[in-house]
Amino acid sequence: MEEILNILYELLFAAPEGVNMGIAPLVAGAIIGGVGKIVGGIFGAARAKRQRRAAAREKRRLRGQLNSLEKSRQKIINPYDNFKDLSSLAKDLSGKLSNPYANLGVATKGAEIQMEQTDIALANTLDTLRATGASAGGATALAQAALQSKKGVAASIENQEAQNEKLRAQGQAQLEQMQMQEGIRVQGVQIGEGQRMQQADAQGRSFAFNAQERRQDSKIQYTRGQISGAQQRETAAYNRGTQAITGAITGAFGAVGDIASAGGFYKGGSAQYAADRKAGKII
Amino acid sequence: MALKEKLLENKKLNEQIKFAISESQSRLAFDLGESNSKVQPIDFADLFNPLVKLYSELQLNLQNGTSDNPVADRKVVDKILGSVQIIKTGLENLASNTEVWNEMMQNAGLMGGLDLIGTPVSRFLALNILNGDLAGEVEVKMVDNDLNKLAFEIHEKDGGFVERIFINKLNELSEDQEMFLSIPNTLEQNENFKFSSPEIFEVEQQGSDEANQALTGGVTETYRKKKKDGSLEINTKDIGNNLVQDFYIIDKEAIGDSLQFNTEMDKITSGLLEESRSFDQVTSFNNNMLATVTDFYLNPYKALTDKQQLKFQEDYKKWYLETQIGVEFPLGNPKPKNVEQPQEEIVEEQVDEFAEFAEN
Repeated sequence: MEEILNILYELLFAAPEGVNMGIAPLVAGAIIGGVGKIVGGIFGAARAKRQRRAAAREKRRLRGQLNSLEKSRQKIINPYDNFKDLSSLAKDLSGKLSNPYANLGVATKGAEIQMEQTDIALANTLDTLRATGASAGGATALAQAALQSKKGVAASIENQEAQNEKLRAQGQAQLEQMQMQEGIRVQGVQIGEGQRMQQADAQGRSFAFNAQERRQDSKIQYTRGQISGAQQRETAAYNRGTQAITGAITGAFGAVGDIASAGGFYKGGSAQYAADRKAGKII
Repeated sequence: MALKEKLLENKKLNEQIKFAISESQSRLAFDLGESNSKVQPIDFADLFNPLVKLYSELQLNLQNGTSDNPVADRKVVDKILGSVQIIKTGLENLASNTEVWNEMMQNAGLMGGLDLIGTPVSRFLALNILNGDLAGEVEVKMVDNDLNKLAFEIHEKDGGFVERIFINKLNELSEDQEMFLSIPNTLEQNENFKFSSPEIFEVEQQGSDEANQALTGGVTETYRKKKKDGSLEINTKDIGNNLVQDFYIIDKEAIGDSLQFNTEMDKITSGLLEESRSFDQVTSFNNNMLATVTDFYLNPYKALTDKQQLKFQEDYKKWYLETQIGVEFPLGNPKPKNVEQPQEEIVEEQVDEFAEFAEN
């Protein structure tokens, strides 16, 4: 490639066939200097151009990545949006309560049996008295005693029955009380656990959101950093290219200027130019 | 011709060019005594002789004050000087391509290398000639005698026309891209994703330095395929030398569904889609890389619709799962084959010996 380039610059400053540009040996030095500078400039600029292209591409790529990261950012969540009203778990347990004492009955059956038995016993005794010829006064006393006995037995049975009924009612009341307490306890556990689970869910979601956010944030920051790095590389490559080109152009125009000032473009060539200058025709 | 066939044909032609370069290189050792140069230098005289003549005449007229129309003459002079600048920039741009050409050829069809579908065969030849690897000739022409239509014309050594490159176009193209299409290299990004996702990909500390982590090639528990009962799906294989090895299956579906994977893949592909002003790079990546999995090709030199861009992003994910992640990974150490049998034999022998002893 360098070989190719030399010819271009040679042509720019050397006189083609049939054209007398009058390049004197004085001018040749300027040309060689200019050519060397331009050739070096071209390769420097070519490399800088490639680097600038690469950096620009890198910057565009990173911008695309940054946009994608920004787009994929998660929506802000409300970690408590799964919270539910747990009051439905609380039930009115009063329906479970009853008054077992309300149905306390009076037990009469026992007394009736006792009465019947006493009546039978009395009849039997009367039959015996009649057969043995006992007096009427003895029979009356016996009948009273028998009656008394009947009353006592009936009262005893009645008491026992009432007591039993009372105990049963007390037991039922106690059982219902305990069942209600258990119901209250279970409700309390359900509500408490529900609240705990909801709280844990909210904390979990909040943690996941924050973790994802931190990761996303750090990626975004990292990509932003990379973009500014690529930007700097692009600018640096551009500056290198500009320097190389400016250097080359300065070299070329310097050479052209040298040629001109040496009379390279003077009618009749540099020799005529030198002669005219010596004769004072050119100041 | 279908794109796949075009790719195969270009690959073949590329091999032929490479062969020609190798042959030329092989002959070099024997040709050291010959002074011939493979590439003839550009003969700028052809183009510039008339221009320099015109330039000097105009310049003399301007300097001596004999110009009939100094304004017009100055414009022509500027244009001639400008044409030099255009050619100079064109040469810079050619050089910026030829500098990396060898590397591109070497990696043709691979990431970071030449795209053999998108780059015309004439361009392979032209760049090899410009690079001095193949014999040929480069000319600078003023097409239609118009100073605005300056072009490099490249010919083979036997004079066969290879390519014409308009310098203005080359200079415009070179602001953003090369003269050839290359396949973007995403290897580093693909690997970085694995490193930055330790919840998916297993890493192992190397030596005592905690910062020195390396990928094992395996995945974490969550991303191992499981049976319906929740136990690990194991594939036991005979690995020779009377040994067997358990392998777990990598659950690519689970990886593909993960937020981390999708975010990262979208990031990489969005970068690719934005990298160039055109979609050439994306098309190159699709045709040379993704198509090996999807068998879907895109037409080079065409912009991609939104739908095609989305497809590219989805195909990249498929390709990644298919080619960048293994199918299975060894679980534990190799075990001897039929490990229980010898133990049973030993027990039986012991029992027999005891029986014999008891009998005696």
